Amino acid sequence: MNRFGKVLLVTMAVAVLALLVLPVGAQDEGGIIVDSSFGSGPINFNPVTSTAASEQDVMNRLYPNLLGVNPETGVIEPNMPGGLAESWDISDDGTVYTFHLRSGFTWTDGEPVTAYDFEYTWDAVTSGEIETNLVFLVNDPVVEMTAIDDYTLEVTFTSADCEALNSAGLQPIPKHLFEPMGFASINEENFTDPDDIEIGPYQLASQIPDQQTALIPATWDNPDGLPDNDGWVMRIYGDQTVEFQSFLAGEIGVLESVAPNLQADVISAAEDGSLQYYQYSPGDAWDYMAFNLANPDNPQAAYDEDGNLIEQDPHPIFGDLRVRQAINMAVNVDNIIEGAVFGNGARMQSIYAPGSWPYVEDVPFYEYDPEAAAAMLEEAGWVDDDNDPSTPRVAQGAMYAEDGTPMTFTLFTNQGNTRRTAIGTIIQDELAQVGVGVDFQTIDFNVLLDIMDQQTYDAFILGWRNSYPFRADQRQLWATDSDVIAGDNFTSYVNPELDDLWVQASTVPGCDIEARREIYSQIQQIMHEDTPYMFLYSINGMYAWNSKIQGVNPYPGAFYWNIEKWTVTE
Amino acid sequence: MIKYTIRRLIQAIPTFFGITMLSYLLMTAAPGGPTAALAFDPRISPQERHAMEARLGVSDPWPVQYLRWLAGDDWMRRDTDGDGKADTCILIPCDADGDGQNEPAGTRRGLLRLDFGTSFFERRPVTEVIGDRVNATFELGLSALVVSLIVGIPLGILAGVYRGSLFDNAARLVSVVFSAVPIFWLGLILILIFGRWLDILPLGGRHGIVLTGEVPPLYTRLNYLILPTFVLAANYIAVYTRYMRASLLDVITQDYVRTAQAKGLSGRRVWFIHTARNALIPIATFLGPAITGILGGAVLTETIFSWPGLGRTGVSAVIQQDYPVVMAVVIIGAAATIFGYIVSDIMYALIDPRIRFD
Repeated sequence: MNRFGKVLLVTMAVAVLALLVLPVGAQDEGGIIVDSSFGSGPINFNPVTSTAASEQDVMNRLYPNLLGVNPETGVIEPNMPGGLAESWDISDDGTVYTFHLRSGFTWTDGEPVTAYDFEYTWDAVTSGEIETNLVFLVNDPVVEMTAIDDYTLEVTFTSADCEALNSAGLQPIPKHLFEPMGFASINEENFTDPDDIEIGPYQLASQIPDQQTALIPATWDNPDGLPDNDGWVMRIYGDQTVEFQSFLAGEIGVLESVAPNLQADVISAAEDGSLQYYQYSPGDAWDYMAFNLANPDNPQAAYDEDGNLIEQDPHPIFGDLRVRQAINMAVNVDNIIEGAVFGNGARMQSIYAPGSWPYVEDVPFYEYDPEAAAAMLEEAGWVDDDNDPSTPRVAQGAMYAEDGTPMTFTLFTNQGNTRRTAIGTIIQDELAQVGVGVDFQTIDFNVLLDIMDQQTYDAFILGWRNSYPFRADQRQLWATDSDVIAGDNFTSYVNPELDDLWVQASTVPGCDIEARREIYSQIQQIMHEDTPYMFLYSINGMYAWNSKIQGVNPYPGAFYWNIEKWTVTE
Repeated sequence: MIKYTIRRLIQAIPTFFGITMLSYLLMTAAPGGPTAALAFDPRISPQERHAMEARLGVSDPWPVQYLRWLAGDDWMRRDTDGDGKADTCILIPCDADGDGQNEPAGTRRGLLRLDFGTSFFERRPVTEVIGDRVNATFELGLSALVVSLIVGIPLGILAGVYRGSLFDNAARLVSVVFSAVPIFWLGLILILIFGRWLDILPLGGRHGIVLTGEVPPLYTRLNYLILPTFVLAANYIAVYTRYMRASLLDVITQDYVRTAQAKGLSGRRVWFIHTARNALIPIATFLGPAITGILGGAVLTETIFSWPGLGRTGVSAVIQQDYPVVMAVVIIGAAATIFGYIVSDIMYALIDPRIRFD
């Protein structure tokens, strides 16, 4: 190599080394809480039109809600952090709530936050001029919101309902700014400009799409005081592995939700004291396998045009209760908990996870017993005609299938979810051992939603996330009038007795918790026996944060409730 | 040359619209739709989702949707009595969601009138959505292109000059590795090594935390650019190295090189003036595909490195089926491809004086 070549090589090497040793950009975090979000970052902080969970995390710091939740109990109570209602009265018939709001909160421009802002927000949501997901308020029990005076708001519900308050939570938008421009103008406002209007205790400092959202303490008074920290920044990550590694490296200080497969890593990393974590069980998410109880070749709505109940055409396999119960016995859910969530799950026997307030222990689990499952399938008319357990059974006298029909079904889940793929693989393997053939397919999530809407599936694996505060009423999933297309009763589960029990549970006089739990106990027992879902497990939740962050005091479902008190020490 | 460029641009117009039409067809043929993500809330009934689809116009037949995107809907849904609601409608119903009330008059002007539409999710003009990200992608793409050229070409020249040496073999090995390794894997490994274990480079992002919202000057955040640039450039470093080496060895056998050597010119002058310049011609033709490839590679690189650019936005838009944003990204990709190929042709002529355009 001649002199020129050597010089060229050395120059290139020096250039690369120089770039490598440049100091990592000085991050003078001071008292700034650095948080993260994965995927598409927040892009819309309009309380009426926002749709993403990461946006809600930001908005909760900018706009108090009408109602606050006791972080310790997870129940809506007066005078709670993040809520403006300091007390309320309930009419004798239980349909009208009169909320008394706290005074002293102001918008950025100094205008007071009043009951008229809530009334205006409600009017906007129900105007039909705004594309908003809050339309569920229209469908749910709220009839109207009326401001009686500056700090008194009257909310009328269609009927007395013990969970009515869950439907009344609303973050306000400023009436004095939008009223002159009309409701439609709300559609155009994303509230992503630092000059936009907020309430506090934080204000938006900057918003860089797909990169970060930065909040700083409000520069105006707040009755609850201003944050002790210098701000809160949400960094947006495109890859979950990188997000997690960034947390371990200390680039971000907080991880709101640690995936089950990473929880052991956090526990291990915390051994040196640099991290802290809070693990809780049950978490707020749970997985299940849903059976289609209706014939996928002939899906029907629950009611005809005249409101009469339509008798459903049963699914050839799952229409028979004995088959569903046998499948529950043939699958070892403990194996699934180990394989899918690395042991970080609590088994569920019915619709509520252990630890939730309506949960009762006396509902049994389906014991793993493949022999009993096989016997039950025989009894249901699904026989092993060739004495070869590796081949699917066939129908001989089955309730809804023609003789000779093989006992195979298609099981879907959404692509890209390794946890659910593991569940499907285990179920496929274990059911094969009792002669049930499973064609397990992972498909695009949008395709799966279409199939669920049209009810043209046999079974699918998905999960639900409980709302916060916890809502015991699951009519949306199980009531007859929620049968698709009207609601999310994708399984076409129809049980008039249960329909009555749901209503009873939500209208118990005085909303006595024990009386309600007794009714929910009956519901859990019925759902366990009827098993429209194979209930699997709730996933243990975990929060993790850097030990430099002081003042974190989490509860299940409530991590950020006192974030204003968090500080960062160097 | 100017005539040639204009002719190429005119020829590109049908190609451009063909791409947009095909893209729109494929996009709308995909199952689901934007409302699956927009209204993924168990409290929203499928009926309400369908009404939302109708209001957004995504349940119309795809030719109508395409036409609306291309030519706007201000002529499809007009308000003649001034009440703000449409009362004269062509191709699309006035009451799309069937709630008994006519929809507001159309306001979209369409691509032909430079209206790219409004993002379903960000609820703001697509030009703003793209404008927020295009600088980041340009910055990353340009740096990757420059690095791949300034590293790949000298490496190829040196490998050619010292063919058969240890250096040549090492360059060949590096080229094979860089060509074979997937971007996402290389990215993650480098993040682990330099970000986690050595702790000398940030793990992602375009810059550190800023409260002001102003992106800091480039020279203060070069460390954030190193890994994504290298990952995006790696494949092209390999390609340029191999192309340059092969081209150089091809040129070296030419008579004029032998003549130059016979005339007693220095080895450096022969290699770098007479040989390397002519060997660059095939490299120039590769520039067009490289621009397209780098834009495509940015999709993965930006996602892994949390780089807030167009590629990552495109991925999100495709997943969410945010049609106006997807189409804007398609347009940028198509325009970059067409532009890249035209630039290649022009450079070809500039480097090789024997080539003239009619």
